[in-house]
Amino acid sequence: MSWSVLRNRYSITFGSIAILATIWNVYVALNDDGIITGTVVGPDNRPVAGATVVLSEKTLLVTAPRARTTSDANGQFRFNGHKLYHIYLEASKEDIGLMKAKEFRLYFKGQNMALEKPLRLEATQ
Amino acid sequence: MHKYPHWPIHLVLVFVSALMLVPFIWVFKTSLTGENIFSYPPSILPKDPHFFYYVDVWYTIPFFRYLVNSVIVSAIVVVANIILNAMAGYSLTREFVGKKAIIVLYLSCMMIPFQVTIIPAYLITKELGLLNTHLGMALPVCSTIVCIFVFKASFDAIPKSLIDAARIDGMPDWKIVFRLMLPLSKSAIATNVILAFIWSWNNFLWPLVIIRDQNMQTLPLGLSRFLTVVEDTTGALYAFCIMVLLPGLIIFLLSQKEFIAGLTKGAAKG
Amino acid sequence: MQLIKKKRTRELLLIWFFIAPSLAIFTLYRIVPLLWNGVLSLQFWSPYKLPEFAKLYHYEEMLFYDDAFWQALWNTIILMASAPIGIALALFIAVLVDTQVRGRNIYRTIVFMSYPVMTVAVGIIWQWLYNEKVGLINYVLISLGIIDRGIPFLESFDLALPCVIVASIWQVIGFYMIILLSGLQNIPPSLYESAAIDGATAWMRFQRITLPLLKPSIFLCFVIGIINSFTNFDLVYVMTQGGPGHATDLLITYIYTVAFKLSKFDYAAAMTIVNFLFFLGLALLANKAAGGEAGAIDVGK
Repeated sequence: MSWSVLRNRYSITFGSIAILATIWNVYVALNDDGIITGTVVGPDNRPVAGATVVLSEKTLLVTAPRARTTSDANGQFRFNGHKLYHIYLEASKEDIGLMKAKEFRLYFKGQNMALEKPLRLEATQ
Repeated sequence: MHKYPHWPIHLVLVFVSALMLVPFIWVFKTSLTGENIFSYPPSILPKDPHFFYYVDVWYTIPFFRYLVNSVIVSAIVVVANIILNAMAGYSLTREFVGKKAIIVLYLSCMMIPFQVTIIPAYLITKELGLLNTHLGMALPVCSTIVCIFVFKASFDAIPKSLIDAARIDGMPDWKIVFRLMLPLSKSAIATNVILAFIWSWNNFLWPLVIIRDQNMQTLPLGLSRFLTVVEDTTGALYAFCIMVLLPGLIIFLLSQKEFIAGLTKGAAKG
Repeated sequence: MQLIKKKRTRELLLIWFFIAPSLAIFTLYRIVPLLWNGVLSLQFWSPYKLPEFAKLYHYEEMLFYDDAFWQALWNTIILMASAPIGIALALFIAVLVDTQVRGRNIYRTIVFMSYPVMTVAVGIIWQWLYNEKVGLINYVLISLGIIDRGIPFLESFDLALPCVIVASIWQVIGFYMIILLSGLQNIPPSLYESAAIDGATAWMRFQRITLPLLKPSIFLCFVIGIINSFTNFDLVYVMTQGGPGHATDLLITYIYTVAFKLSKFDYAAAMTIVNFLFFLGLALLANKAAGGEAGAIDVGK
């Protein structure tokens, strides 16, 4: 095989596209367990235990809730195995307050996500 | 022509190029930000661009399946074109009874645009049982007259001495075509591949006519259907446009010279 | 003797075998459909029962009772008549690109880029550029102070067709330019030089040398313009679907609607025959005017 085939502009273009596609697919396969982790804090920025967190899916037409969980003693919560790419997260606790639905968009279905900023409950009047 | 200052020419050309590019740039910008669908006045620089519309397109519609369908049909068309056109081109370089009639037939076929044939072609494809299939989509365009003449011209240019030498060596004729003449006609092959690919990739009317099954749709069909579903409510439509434009653009940019040479040669009828 | 005969037969067999597949495709998908269209147009066709002979019923219906047909025909003619505008613009650009400016290949590429892209995407982009509320064109017009509020370009009966024509010219101008460029490059520069020595101005050089020598290319562009107006289905379908009313319907989009949305294959076949005859007549006329074969290219777009 002559090496000049490799320097052909077609080989370079399509070869790079193929390589990029492979790298992307490998990355996706490694990171698509569908885990979302985060913390819920109250208006005073202290972690809230037992808050309900609802995970909803947004398609082009509707927004529908898919899963819910409660935060543990440290105010942390975790979702497992979701297969969504466009989600809303909503948190609430009865006497403390609620956080309106916040939108997140992912790059691929089930992308693992660890929230940087905690979900902050605002006191309801 | 050689003593004129160049800058006015540049100015006009830049203006013209800008006009030609504006649609592309605009759709690219909107696919990144989605802001010009709802907000007004439109702005030039994108405000917080993001790639999420592309994610939407990928998951909301079976983009990958449409892509695969388009690729399969284009592959069939390109391969069939090369083989059929080369064979026909070779036959046209030899003398035989009825050659004139065939050439007249081909020339008159050039005057029958594809759009005139869609109704009976639909009925024929139905009789052959090829509705909703890749082969059905590919079949009517498996050969183009322009490319036949391109091959003929290319084969004519091969020196007879080479062919005679091969004949004396006892090579059967078909081997001469595929082993000797074809490799010497690289530019004709390139022209054929590029033209056949671009025409088949962008072909909209014929798949629209014969494909009813959603899973068999090609990219242009998918785009048109997406348009009717979402109208202009989302930037995903424009992301879809970009994703659909890119392969054609890439192929064109990679093969400009052959593309343009092929078109001008074909336009001048070989 | 025996051997030679056999060889010639073998050779003939091979030649016919080689030409057979492509011949089959063209017979099956060009010749037969054309003839079948003719037959269909003279029948009452239905998917459920056998066709009956209809004589000239469809032609009568089409020519005397169908306003939409005449509107579509008129629109097609207008689109065709706008081809010279595109050709003139392309000629202007081609002449500029042909001068020895630096980067002329880049300009050539940019102008030509609009041709190999998918017409469906082009239709969507232009449809949005013309949008009444958020379109770029309305925005430019408003900020230049020419109008106060956005014009609904693609919904107005008068403006829709010119808008489609502009989009069509945008797409095809690159193709015209390429053809004219190759024609320009075939003109030997010595002609210009000797004319310049003889004292001819640039305009005179253009008129007396360039234009006459470009006649074949220009007529070729015109033939392509004719072909385009009779076959430009994608752009119109995506931009307006032939609306509003039938203001932007071309013959080909109307045929498609009648055939595949209303399932009236027989009537559509009659219109196809008329479409084809019209196109053939015009193309042959253009050829004659060009003084011979300007070449008809198989635009399989």
